[in-house]
Amino acid sequence: MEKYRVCSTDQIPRGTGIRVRLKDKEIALFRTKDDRFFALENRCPHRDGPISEGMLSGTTLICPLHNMRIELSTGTLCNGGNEEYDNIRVFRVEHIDGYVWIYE
Amino acid sequence: MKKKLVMVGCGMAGMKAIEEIIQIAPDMFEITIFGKERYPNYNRILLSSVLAGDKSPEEIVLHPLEWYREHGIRLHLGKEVSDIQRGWRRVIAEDGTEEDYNLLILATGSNPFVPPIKGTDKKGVFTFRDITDCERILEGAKYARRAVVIGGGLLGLEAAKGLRKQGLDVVVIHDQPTLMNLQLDPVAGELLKRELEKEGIRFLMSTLTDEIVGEERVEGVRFKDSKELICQMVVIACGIRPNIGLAKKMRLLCGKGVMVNDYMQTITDPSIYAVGECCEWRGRTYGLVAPLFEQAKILAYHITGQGFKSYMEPPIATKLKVEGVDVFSVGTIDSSAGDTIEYMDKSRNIYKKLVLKDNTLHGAVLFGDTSIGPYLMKLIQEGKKLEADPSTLLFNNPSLGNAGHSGVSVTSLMTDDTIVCGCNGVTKKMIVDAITEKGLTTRQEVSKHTRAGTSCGGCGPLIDEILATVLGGGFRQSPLEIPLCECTELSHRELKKAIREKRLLSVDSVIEALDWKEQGCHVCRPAINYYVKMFFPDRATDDIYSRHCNERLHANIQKDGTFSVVPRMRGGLTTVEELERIVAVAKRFNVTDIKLTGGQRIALMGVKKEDLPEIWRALEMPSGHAYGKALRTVKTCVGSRWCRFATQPSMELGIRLEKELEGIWAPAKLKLAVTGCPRNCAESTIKDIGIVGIEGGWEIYCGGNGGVRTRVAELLTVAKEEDEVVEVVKAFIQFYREDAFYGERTSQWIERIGMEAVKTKVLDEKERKELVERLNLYLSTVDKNPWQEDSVAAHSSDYLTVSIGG
Repeated sequence: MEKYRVCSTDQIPRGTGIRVRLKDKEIALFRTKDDRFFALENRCPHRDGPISEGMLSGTTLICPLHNMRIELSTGTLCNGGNEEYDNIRVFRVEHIDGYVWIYE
Repeated sequence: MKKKLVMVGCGMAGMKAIEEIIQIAPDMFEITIFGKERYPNYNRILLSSVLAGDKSPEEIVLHPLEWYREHGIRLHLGKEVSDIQRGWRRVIAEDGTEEDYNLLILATGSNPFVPPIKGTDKKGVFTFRDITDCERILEGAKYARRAVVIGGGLLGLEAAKGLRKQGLDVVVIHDQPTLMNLQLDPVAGELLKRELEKEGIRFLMSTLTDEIVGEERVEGVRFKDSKELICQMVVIACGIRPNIGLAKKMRLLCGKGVMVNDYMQTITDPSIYAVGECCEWRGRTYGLVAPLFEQAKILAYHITGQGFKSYMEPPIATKLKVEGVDVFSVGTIDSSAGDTIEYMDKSRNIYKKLVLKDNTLHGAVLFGDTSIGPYLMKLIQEGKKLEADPSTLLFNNPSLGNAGHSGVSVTSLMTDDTIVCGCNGVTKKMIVDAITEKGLTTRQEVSKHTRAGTSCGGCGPLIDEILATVLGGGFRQSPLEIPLCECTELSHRELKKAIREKRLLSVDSVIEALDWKEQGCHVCRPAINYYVKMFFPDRATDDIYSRHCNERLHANIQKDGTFSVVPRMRGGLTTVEELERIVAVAKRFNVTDIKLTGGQRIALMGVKKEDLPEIWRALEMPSGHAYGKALRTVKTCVGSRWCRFATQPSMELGIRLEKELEGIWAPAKLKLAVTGCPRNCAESTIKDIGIVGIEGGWEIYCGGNGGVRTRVAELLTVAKEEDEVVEVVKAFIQFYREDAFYGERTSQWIERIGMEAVKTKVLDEKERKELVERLNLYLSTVDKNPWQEDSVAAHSSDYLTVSIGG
């Protein structure tokens, strides 16, 4: 597993997310209002929506395409028919000295 | 070897039987079906929607062709069966197709009844029974100005409604004094008539038609009193008669219909069953879907050897929706049959009547509010003596008191086995189970999983209520008094009041001051963000992270995560220079799809997020706000500048309006149009605000909608000068901004508060001036072009995509 530096923490306003391209993967990186960071595959389990553009409520992300709710810590859909959809991959994140790091 | 089962007829009752049979014993029979129509089994109840142009024939098909294939059923479509040789057990169609059977089901339905009126063979006379009839009527309607509908029953009224929607002048002739006299009493009949008259349908009651006159084609109708009415088409909707031609030819015993026993076998031949409108059970024939589906189940039960469940007549309830009015009728409705309790609310057009004998309920008529219908039906079915004062039945169950909101009580009264959808026999329990087990949240999902509400749709409101009961806050109903979302107990109304009184200026302060349970969600945060800015335009903060990403990024997100870019082209006008820049941008950024939008603009599709700022810079055109709950476009026709018919300069006014109004955020999107004459080429009458040029002035319409539920805009006022138009439009928009709930379109808002309230406010000179002043103050605080570099630079991190790992 390698460790990649993404950006400085203040490049991501609290309560929002950004898109990160890591080789051929697209990752959504979020910063919650209480300064926790989460990185997930940038793909809603429902219809592959870009969750990086969704609205955050605590650690729940609401996908901009069909308002599906995703729990950031697990990558699972919170509402409806869970078994029909796969979870999305969650990446390990760290923030040290003002920088955010992703493990892959 | 499998037994051969052949069915003649491919309608709703027969197909229900097949569906049930397959469910009980999927491999028992080799099934063959003959259908004489071009379409496979469709929802006949929705024919009126096809006539009204709301649905296409394909959309009302219940079992598409793949369904038959999937279940290994051989379907002979468009083949009418001409003979059945009972001795050989063989079915023969007109084209010579032959099928042998071990068991046969007759499901031949019914034919329209044509009363003995002279001249029914003329061109332009139609019956209304199947899709072919519908298509013929629609074709005929193209050349007619006035249509006469003979028959004021359900079918006749639906035909009238459909033809009215096609723009015809419609007159309904009914031989009785009361509309739908089989289901409604005179009071309810009269209420219904008034409601339909509002839609522009006219009625001649207690009128007997003598002759349809004309040479080859219909030119009019003559009544028994010798009066005549000119018309170009006639639709006969005088009821139905069982279609028993084939059964008689086969020498099966027939009365009004093919006679069957309690297991739906024909009395004459036990290997032949009959089901639906063509059969007669204990002297009775039926035309409503609920009892026929019950017959279908009994048939399936018996034919698959499951035993002897026999047909018992259910109480016949009719639940209909005529032109948006709910009507319900069950059991005996004749007042002379017992004691009656009646309730009439003239202000809301609600009428309820109960018919009682010896303190048991025997029948009921409901008009305007049918929510207690299923409960009454159950009481009639049980036939028990009523314990409480029967008048309390009129207003839900009194024992619930004030618990919960009013709507919930009706369904919570229902026992698990109460039928909610009479058409498909779906019980409350089946719906509740589907909701909890499958995690359903909308009426559509419930319909998909249980089939409830897929036939006549009359039980839709009940499904909503069950959803509301089961899901609690997870289900959204009327925005009026129910909590906004799971984060709060407050309704929109209460939230607005609190923001104004406590002078809350940001999303965060609202969440903090009003005890929000969570940090706010995609439902409440955009609403709060709108309200604070609406109330305190010069002091509130716009929290862009409380907006949907479209409004935050000023572009419209697409299914693949790319965005569309729609620059403003005021009044739908562009220039060579603008087009050249658009072409240059499209080439440079590889925009593959360039789409002309409905709002007379150009959309560049498939743009990457990180390219947005550069594209805007290169376009040098302002944002069209095509992505927000904001002022979208003012669509125009070319108007008097070019058009030889126009009376007013619509393009010029449209451009002026767009310039003055762009940048406004509203509870929902706002679409405008201006046309230069009443020919209305820019479709002003289905816009939130539509201006129509007339000789010497402008008509101003509002509350139109061309979306899911088309609504024609209503006339607000007529203005002489363009300045006055601008002022009225501004006042209207500001009143809408202040009074509507977030998410409510002008059409929904006006339906809620009424056109009178809008007129009183906007047309009062003093109020109007104040509204305009407040809008102008607000306009001075908005960023009219969020695409300009300064605006973009302030939020550059939003467009950031970081690439790492080489």
